[in-house]
Order: sequence, then structure tokens, then C-alpha cells
Amino acid sequence: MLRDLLSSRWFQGGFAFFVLVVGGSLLYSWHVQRTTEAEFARHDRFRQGLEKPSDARPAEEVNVPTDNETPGLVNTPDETTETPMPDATEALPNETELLDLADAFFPDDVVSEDAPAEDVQVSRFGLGPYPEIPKEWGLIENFLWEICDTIEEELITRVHVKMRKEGIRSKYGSVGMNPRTGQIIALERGTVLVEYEIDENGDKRIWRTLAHPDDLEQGMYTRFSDIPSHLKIVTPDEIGFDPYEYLGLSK
Amino acid sequence: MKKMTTFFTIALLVCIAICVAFAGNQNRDRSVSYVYPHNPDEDLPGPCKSVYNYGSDSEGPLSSSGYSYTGYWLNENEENKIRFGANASGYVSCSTDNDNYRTTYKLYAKVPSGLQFPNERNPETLPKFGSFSESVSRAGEGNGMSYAIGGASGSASASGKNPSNGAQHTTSAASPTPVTARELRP
Repeated sequence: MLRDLLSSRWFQGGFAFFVLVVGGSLLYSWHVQRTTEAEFARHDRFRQGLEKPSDARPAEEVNVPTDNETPGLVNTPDETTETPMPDATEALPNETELLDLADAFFPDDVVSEDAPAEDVQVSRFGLGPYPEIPKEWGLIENFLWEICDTIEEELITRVHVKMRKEGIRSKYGSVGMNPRTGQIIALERGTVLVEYEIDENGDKRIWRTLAHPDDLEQGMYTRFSDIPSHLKIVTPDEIGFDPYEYLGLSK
Repeated sequence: MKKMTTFFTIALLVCIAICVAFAGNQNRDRSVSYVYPHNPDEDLPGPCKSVYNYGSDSEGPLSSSGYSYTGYWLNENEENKIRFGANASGYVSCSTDNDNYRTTYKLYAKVPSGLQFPNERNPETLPKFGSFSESVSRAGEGNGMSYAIGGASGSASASGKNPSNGAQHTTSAASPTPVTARELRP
């Protein structure tokens, strides 16, 4: 009976079809994974390029975290990166390979228990070492810094991080920056930020509106009279503040 | 043997089609685009229609939409002179409980030149953390004989990243034309 079933062309065809479907799905999954890894690898290369030669420490000191670094996580070296590794690391290629393998299959917190810590990362825009991001936030290590393509983006990120650390971030729906002035715009709930112009009749006409989604349910306001009275109206110049001053950085 | 080869070929094509369809649609939760032409006043000449153009797209916490309206009407205060009005807006929204969610976005709105100065807004933007809604708009009116329908447009796009898990979302929408609209409402 079983032999008949196994020798049935329909069964074989169906089985082959099943294998193809599963294989196709795995192939696509593999493609997505590779794409994501390539993206992270790009960020890794960027980060390694930031490391100063003077920041490199002997292998025996790697497990000793400094005040500003986040201990415990490991970033596996990229195969395509030509950054020279310390001698002690080169002497243990098998460990590195094993870490690569383990890092690919296990969550970071499983892999990195005994892994060496990363050096302190420094801003590529000259803003100094990145502030530590508490592990409790549950963020991918260095992700916030790696996606900063400009100094303005890094300043916004630093302000956001500092606000969270100080416990005041939750007061604000969003944190951004006015590109025109470089000032930070942190918008409180119940507040509508407007930019307006004077029309031919001398009336103020709003052309730009920013608010929390709950405070901008109708999408936009074009007249001040359209804005509900319970919302506070502000302009960028009224609430903007200097990020350098807030962060204690010199321009 | 020939039948099996045919069967496998068809099965392979089906698998490829499933994968392509999956890859193409995974980033779209909702996308709407319609044009709604109508004539609000029977006394207006036939070509003087009013048109709503609306496009919207959303994924994850992000939503983008582009809207425009152009229309004619008879102004009784000017001996039923035909008037033309247009407005447009671009709108982006991020609704999330995750303060660390970061969104980069673009907004655009335009009406025909002469209706408002400047007749278009394309503001520079920088990323934002957290929840926000932002919009730009343009609006104006003029002599109905000087303008043709379809000169207004609005659009918006957004890209968001969740630093907690690396998830990314993108949305893009624009006020459609009758040619590009998915739906032409009667």
C-alpha cells in the first residue's frame, strides 16, 4: 500500500510541488535576510571606519568596559572589511568563526554573554563620543547612530536620548528640528505648531501645521479660526531651542 | 516523463509567481487613490467641472496622503462671473507609542501659478522621533477663464525605522490624475 502510494506519480508530483513551495519560501526568506544583513554590514563598516587607532586596546583589556561604553554585546567582524585585527584576535580564528556562526543563529543576548565589549564609538560629525543608550530601552545596538546621515540628524537623536534619560521625553509627542534655524522642535501634546503667511487681504493664512495625530484629526488647519480652542498655538521660533546648548556641546 | 517535466515547470512558475506576489505586496497595508469629478452648478458651462483628487497610503504607524481640489463657480456678486478655485495639501502622520520610532518624510503642495504666492510649498524636512502629523497646503482663487482644471497637486512620502527591531516602513501618496487614479468616482 505504502509502496503504491510512494510510487504514485500524483504523490510524487504533489511532494515535489510541496518541496518547491517550501524551497521558494525559504529562498525568499534567505533573500530578505541577506538584504538586511547587507544593510547592517554597511553600518558596521561605517562604524569601524570611525574607530581611531588610538582607541584600540589590547585583547586582554577588551572585557573591561569603560564608563561610557555598553558592555556585553559583540559585533562580528565583516568579511569584506580590511580593517586589521589585533594580533591576539588573529591568533584565535576559530573563536571568531564560532562567534560568527553563533551570532547568525542565536539572539544577541545569548551569544554575547562572554563576548568582548565594543570600544566607545565617536561621532563622525565631530560631536564626540556617543552617549550611552540604556539596555533597558531594548534598542538594537548603535542603530540610532548608524542611521544618522547628517550632523542635524545626530543632534536630533542626541537630544531625544538626553530627554529620555532625563525623563522629560514623554511630555512631547515628537522631537525634530527646524531645518531653517537648526533649533530643536519638541512638540507637547495639545499644542499645534503653525507657520503662516499674510495673504492679499492682510489675513494670516496657515500653510504648514504640525501636531500630535490626536490633535490634528482633520489633517490640517488653514485658518487660525479653524483650530479648536483647547489647543495651544505656537510657532517654531517660540518653542525652538538650541541643541548645542541643551547638550552642552560646543559648535 | 514529458508530463512530469511539464508538471514541474508549471509548479516552478507557480512558486515563482507566489514569491513575486508576496514580495510585491508585503509593504502595502492600504492604498487608496480616486478622482471625483462633478459639476456643482448646472448653470456652469459643461467643461467647468469640479474635481477632487485624493491618494493615500499607509504602512505600520505611517500614513501619507496627497489631496487636491479644483473647481469653478458662478459669483453672484460679480454678475455670475465664472470663478476658479484650487487647493492642495500633502499630509504625513506617524502614530506610535514608541518614542524611539524615527520618521523621515517629504511634503508637497501646489496650485496653479497666480492663485497664491508662492504657488507651491516643498519644505525642507528633518527626521522626527515619535508621533506627529504634519501638513502643508496651498489655496487660492481667480478668474475662472484664466485657469484650467488639474493644475493643483499634493503629495507626501514617509519612511520610518523602529530601532527596537530594525523594522522599516514606507508610504508614498499623491493626488492622482484621471489617468493615474485607481478609481474614477461618478
